[in-house]
Amino acid sequence: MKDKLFRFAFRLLQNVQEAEDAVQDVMAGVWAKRDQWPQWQSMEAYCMTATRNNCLDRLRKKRLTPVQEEKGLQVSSHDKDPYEKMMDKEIVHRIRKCMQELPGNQQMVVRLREMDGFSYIEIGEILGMSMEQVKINLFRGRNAIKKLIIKEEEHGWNTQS
Amino acid sequence: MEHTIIKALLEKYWLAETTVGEERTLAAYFRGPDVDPGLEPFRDLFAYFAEEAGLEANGSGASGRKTTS
Repeated sequence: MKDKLFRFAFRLLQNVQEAEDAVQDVMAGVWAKRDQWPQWQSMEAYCMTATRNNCLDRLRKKRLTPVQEEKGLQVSSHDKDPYEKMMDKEIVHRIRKCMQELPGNQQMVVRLREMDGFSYIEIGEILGMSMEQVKINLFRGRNAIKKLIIKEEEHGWNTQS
Repeated sequence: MEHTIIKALLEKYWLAETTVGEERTLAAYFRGPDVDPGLEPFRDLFAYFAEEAGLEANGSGASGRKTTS
């Protein structure tokens, strides 16, 4: 079960160390509540929920920590290809940053859908949401990124000489 | 014709109304060489998702828990 929890945590956090820490927290919490075990209907369901909540907290904290702005390479080349290549990297960097700044639920839903290809129903089961909530979070997450891309595109056109 | 279908799919995509299959169609289109110039800005988005999905599948966590870069 520990492996399953790790896979789940990793899927949400995208970071090995953080996922291991999250599972460690959950296991410690479960052990601390061992006197309650007989009352639990399903140990696995409890652990999955606890892992989800732990990951959500971690994502929330990350969001509150300002992400270091990495400046793109300043290139004055007239060669179009490297410039375009650099812009590509810059936008990908910004998309990644935008993803990290999404509220936890939106971020998890977008990840589970876009990177893992889960159905709306599966995501609802994993995150304990209704299908409607899954779609709302996905809608908001995707549109935050769309807005960024459109803004960047306009900015890109304006600054190109 | 294809671009019209893709534009319609993309509208559905932003509304979170696409199926997993339709999203695969979009991803395949944006991987291809013939992306409509008006849709070009979104190519990076699908490339980013594909890259992250690949990292997750091959990479450090799910199966091997390797910490190699």
